[in-house]
Amino acid sequence: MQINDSSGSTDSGLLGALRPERLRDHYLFRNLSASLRLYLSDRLTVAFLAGFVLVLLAAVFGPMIAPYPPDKVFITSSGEILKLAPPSGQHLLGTTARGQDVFSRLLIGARPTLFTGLLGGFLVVLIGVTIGVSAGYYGGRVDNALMRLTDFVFGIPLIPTAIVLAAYFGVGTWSTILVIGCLLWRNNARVFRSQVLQIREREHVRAAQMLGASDRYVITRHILPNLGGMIVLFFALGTGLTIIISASLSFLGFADLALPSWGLMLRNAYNSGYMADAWWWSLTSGFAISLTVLCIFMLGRGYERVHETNVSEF
Amino acid sequence: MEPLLEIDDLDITYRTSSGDLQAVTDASVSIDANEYYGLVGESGCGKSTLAGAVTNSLDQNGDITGGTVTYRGEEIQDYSEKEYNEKIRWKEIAVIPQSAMNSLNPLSRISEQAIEVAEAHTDWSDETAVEKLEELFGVVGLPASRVHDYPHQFSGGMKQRAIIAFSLLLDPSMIIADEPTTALDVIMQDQFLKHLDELREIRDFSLLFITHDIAVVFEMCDSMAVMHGGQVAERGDTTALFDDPHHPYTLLLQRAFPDIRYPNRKLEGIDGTPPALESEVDYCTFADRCPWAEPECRERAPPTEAVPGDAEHASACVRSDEVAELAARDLDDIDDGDGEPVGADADADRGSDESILELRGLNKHFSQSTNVIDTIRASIFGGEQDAVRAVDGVDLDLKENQIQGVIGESGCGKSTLLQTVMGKYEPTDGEIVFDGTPVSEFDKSDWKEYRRRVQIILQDPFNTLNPHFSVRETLMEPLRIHDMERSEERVLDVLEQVRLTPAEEYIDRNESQLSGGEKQRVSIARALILEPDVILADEPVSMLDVSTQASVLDMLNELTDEYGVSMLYISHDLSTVSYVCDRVNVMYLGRLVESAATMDLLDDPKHPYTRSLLQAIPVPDPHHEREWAELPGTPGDASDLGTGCRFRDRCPDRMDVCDQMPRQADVGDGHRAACHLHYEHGSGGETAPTAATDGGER
Repeated sequence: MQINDSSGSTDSGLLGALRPERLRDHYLFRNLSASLRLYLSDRLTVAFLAGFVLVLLAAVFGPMIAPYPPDKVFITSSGEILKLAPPSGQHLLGTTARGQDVFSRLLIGARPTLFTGLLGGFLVVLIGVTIGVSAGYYGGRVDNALMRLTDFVFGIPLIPTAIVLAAYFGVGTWSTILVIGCLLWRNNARVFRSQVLQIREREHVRAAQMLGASDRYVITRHILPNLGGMIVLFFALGTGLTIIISASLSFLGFADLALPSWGLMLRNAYNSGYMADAWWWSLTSGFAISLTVLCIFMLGRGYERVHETNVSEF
Repeated sequence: MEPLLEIDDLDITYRTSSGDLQAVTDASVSIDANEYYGLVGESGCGKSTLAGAVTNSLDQNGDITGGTVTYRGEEIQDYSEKEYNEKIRWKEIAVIPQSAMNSLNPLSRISEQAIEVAEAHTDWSDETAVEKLEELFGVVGLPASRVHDYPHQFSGGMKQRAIIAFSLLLDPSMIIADEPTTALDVIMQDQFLKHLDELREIRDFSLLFITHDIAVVFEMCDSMAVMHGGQVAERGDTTALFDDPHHPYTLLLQRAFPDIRYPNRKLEGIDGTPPALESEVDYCTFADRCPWAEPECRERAPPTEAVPGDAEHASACVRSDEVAELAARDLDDIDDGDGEPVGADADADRGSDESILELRGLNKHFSQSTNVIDTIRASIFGGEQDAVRAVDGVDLDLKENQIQGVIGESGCGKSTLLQTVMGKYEPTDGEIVFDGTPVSEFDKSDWKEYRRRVQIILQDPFNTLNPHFSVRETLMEPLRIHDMERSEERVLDVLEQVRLTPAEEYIDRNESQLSGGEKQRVSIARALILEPDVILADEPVSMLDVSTQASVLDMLNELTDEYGVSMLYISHDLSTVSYVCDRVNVMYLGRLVESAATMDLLDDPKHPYTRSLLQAIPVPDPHHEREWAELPGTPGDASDLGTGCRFRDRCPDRMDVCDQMPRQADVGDGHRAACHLHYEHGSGGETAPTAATDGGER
């Protein structure tokens, strides 16, 4: 029996699972490909996906395709700084008050903005899922303790705290992400908990528990997959919120000045005093932020739709 | 006489993203004034859709694509929402919804809700509406003074009566009740039917009673129609359909239905499942399940033709004249109590003398406190708070290879009992002994072994499989958890055992590709794959259609013999319990009140509660005059029980001594009952030992 056991587990273990035909049959892969088809069946989702891919391309290749270095100051033929030039063939989106090319700065700003957002969103969901699932699954004292912690975190004002912490630890991208991640999870921990409370009572979960499955097994195989849609949705929400909040912080001046994010562009435009005149400067960065957040939100929403249909049609 | 409601050749189509689906095809039904009419069929047969056409409440994507609905000589199928509201709704046709108990708005008084209805449909003054409601409360036996109560102030039974009164508010000529009793347990159902039945003496109205429960229709209705796959298979007088069915489906449905009078009868499931909806139905939808189908059945829809000699009785079957002969030729005689026992009595001697699972004085109380402060106060100032005694002193001895049943109304603690045995809850007191070892002495590896040897089958087939898993993954899961060899053959084997054949075809299916019965079979396979010693079954068939129920029950019965497993079968339905179980335990508010071999219990119930339970079960025979069970009220709250017999407030045989807790007395042949009626009381007011401890807790 012992020998049989071990041979059985190697066969269907990691190596076995990696064989292509097995991989194609694996439930995660199967559900994923079916979902993807359904996901892309919605035209609106495809449009937002295209928008997001555009931002993603800018984030990855921005520095390479930007026509000019972001900090290059342009000088007119008369030797003056090319201040606030409106859009032209030379400068697609005009120049800033310091004579820098707005289009190049916009392209380069995509990377820090998106990076901050995705990392923040990841952190938010990671903490939120951990706390929400633990509270919902274990219940009792664990639940009580974690939910009171959540209540407490709800009482912490986000932006003032970020400002105060910035004053202590200095201004930086990492600390911004950390502060946002460590506070924003409060929004989703409760939702995850209530979802888990429901899923926990489903009979397939109870059946697995009564088979003697470990908590880890039940959580990873039964709870988390059924939470998938929510996780993606909240990841999207968290990413969007992180982008907005870090832009707000940049706007307020609590951002790394060396990183040309879109929030910083907005701040520079505002500080220059030409916000209203140089629309190509202020509006484009603002639009870029809004558009990115919108795309991410809608992609999350689209995924939720897929997940719901999946479960209800299964 | 002109019928009150006439549905003629009605077609209803649902437009969906995957094309049109015909839900009702050429359905014709006619209901006379003051007639109680039953509409029976399995889930998905189109009966609710048909009612939706009458009440103008089809879903957005549902359309009447042919035929007419005539009410008092006027075609109403094309009425707009507004027109229908003005002319028909409430005033002419009222509806008792499926979850009747929850259909009253909890935020407003019942009288206010009546005023609202009257305002919408009549020009009555508020006073008239309230007066009318008061009068109707009198009719259904509720005190008129309570019309101003809020719904939560009513008990479940009172709410039911209020709903009936409510539906009668505007003197409708017709009431449509869509599965009004499905969510109720047998005692509540009995009360509901009793009110409806009494009403026909007092008021004039027709009732369209939609249900899957053929027994209820046989009891309640004058005429009936049987639907299958959107077609009306047979219609006519209830007794005519019972005595002389002319459609194979009517015949087989009757035979699939358990009858508490004949627990030894063999139940016969109907092969296959109700058909999925198609875009066009031009064949007999029952052909694929029919034992006597001919090629012709699949070529065209059989015409509905009257049975010779009975103009009311019509059947849609090409072989309608032969059905009786065919049944006599191909089916075994239905057992009326004399033949070879195959049900309850067949395995009366099954089970060895060895106990496999023994419960000794098992208690599970739940603390009711919900906040920290109460808990702290209780721990400082002492004294137990009002605990909910979900399971209170249960003794049960399950022998090897035996099936024991535990029955009781919802809320009696039977599910808690099961979960305590499974180790989900720690018992408050008492002991669970498994195979000679008390569970409390288990260490971690013993628990794991226990969880292999004791398996559970849960109630809801639609929720029991992880929607992300295929059948293969579901069945591999127990093997994975218990580190056993995950072999494909084992999975295929167990699928064959639960009669999912060919197994190769089922193994890769997704949860969505299985019917309800198949899901429950997979869940039984999941329990069997570890070759357990004990199976705990929590209402495993209560959510299945009756045609499937019979075959699943049969299978459980056979598997017990084949594998020598023991089973604890928990249900509120005595007729299915008696069919599979060798011994039955009756549970009431946390206590076992009676325990006996199945036939003993059915023949000679001792406890008044058991008697009422037995009496409340509808009998699928229109000739049988069943008396209503006299069991007022509801079980009440398991937290505020006082001392004494828990059943005393509802008991028809209540005596003074019932204020003391009765002890379990043996009334012969291992038949035990906890009732003062059934044992000699010593002088000086003997109390049972349990009563003393109960008193102490108060």
